Amino acid sequence: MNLDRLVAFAKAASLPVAIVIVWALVTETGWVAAYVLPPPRTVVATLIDFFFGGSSQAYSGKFMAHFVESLYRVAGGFACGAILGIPLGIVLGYNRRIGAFIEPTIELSRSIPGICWLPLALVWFGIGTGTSVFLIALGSFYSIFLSTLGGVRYVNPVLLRAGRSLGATESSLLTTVILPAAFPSILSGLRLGLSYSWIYMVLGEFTGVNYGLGALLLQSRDTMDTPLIIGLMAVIGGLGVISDRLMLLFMTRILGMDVR
Amino acid sequence: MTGVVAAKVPAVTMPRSNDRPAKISFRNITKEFVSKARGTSTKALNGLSLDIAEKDFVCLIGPSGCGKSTLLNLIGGFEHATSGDVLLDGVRVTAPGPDRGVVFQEGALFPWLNVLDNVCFGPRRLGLPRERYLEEAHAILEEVGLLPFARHLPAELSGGMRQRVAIARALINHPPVLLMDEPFAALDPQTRVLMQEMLLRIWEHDNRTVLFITHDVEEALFLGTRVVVMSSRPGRILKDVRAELPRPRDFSVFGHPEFVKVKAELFALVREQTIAAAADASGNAGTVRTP
Ligand SMILES: Nc1ncnc2c1ncn2[C@@H]1O[C@H](COP(=O)(O)OP(=O)(O)OP(=O)(O)O)[C@@H](O)[C@H]1O
Ligand SMILES: [Mg+2]
Repeated sequence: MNLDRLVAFAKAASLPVAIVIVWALVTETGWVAAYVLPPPRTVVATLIDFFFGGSSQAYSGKFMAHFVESLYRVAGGFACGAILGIPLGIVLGYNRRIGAFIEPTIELSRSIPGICWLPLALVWFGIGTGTSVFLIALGSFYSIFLSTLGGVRYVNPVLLRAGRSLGATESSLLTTVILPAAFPSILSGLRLGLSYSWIYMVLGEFTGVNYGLGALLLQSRDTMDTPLIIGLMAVIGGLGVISDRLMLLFMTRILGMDVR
Repeated sequence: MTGVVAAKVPAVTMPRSNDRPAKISFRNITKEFVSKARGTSTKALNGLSLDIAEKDFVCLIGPSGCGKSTLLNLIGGFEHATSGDVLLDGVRVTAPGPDRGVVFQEGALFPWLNVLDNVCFGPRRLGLPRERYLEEAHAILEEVGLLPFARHLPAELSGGMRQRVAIARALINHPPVLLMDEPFAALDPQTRVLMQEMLLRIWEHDNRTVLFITHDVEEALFLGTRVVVMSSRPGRILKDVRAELPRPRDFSVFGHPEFVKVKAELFALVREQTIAAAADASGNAGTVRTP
């Protein structure tokens, strides 16, 4: 049993390991110039410096400062997206008559790529946190809203029939059958929304704020610091994975809900 | 013992003369499904009448697509007749309710609730005191042999176990009427017989009114006090047979000569209708284009 998991892990890890080996080979031999692609160990050293300090670089030991700033924006924007998206999805999924008024507008506005909102957001909210939070909220809203709506609207009708014939009233049906049945799709909408949040965080911070992982990423391009660029890409990706796992854990354990 | 007595009723069933009052009445029911998108309408039932007395165990058989589920959905309150009356205790049915327990073909258990919580769903909605229904839920789970699985989720059960939970969940509300739509269709023959025996055991000590849909003639004869055969679509009642085998019944009646004879007759009748239904389907009768 444990061996099976080990084998599965080895299979999954084989490609990344191969990529790192090739990466190390082509960079350490000088075949690819270091300013185009630095060797893995340089990236690792830069990251260690970024996390724990030790050099005179501006970013040295500044991980927490940048991270907290980004996290703050992601959390704020994602919370706005969820606070709007979940209730709206429930109401419109539950009541098609209200939906007929609002859904087409939301569908239409969704076809505007999130990035197109950037100039307008800058005009409205200025450079910095306001714009980032707005973009993140917008980016996460659609997936949360649509998944919630779908989950609520397309509950297996036989479950509704079962609920009614067991004595549930129309109003209690929402909390006893519809929401629990829709929970898996609400959760997947939240996960998708969270991953969009990290994406739009980077976009929002590209507008030129001083602190934040996205901001630092842009600055490291200006200084042609490729090790830091690659390191930050890995950090942002890693944070996305960690936050997704934490949310999954929270939803399943703390709320005691089942994801099947 | 006379065994099975097949009381032949004319093809168009009259309300059966019976001293017990009708628990369920279908009066001249027509049900048409209209699809605006395709501009077609399908007549599932056409002028069907059927009375079910209190404590009757009526098994409904007929070719696929003849309107059996439609009939059950009407009395269940899930759908409304295009014309005609569906009465429960003489009162017109308008909505589903806990006075009619329903067991669906696929069980329709709530996948997020464990077995015990599925069973307790009804009493909770009805606001019964916790101590009372918990005790009863345990008793019912014991009866269907699932007490050891009280904390399991539906996904962790076999098909037969799920159907037993579905039956327990419907029974705990003590509905005077039990509606079952091919509840055992997906089970293997061995399990099915065990489930049938379990259902009979339960029914024999409280004698509630049951409407049971099946494709299986043997199952119908084994379980029912009455077997009603429907025609191909649009569904009418073709035959209404009283099945008076000795009770309590168990699997040994399958070999009973009367049982075998009536079974063969009914099988032939359903087969005829199924062939007719197939011919209809190729000619697309019953579905008409609306102007
Ligand atoms: N919701 C619906 N919309 C349109 N047509 C329907 C609907 N439900 C049933 N029908 C039609 O009504 C007819 C009867 O359907 P019903 O489900 O009652 O058949 P059935 O006797 O239960 O068949 P089976 O034995 O296969 O379950 C069918 O021809 C079907 O196409
Ligand atoms: Mg059916």
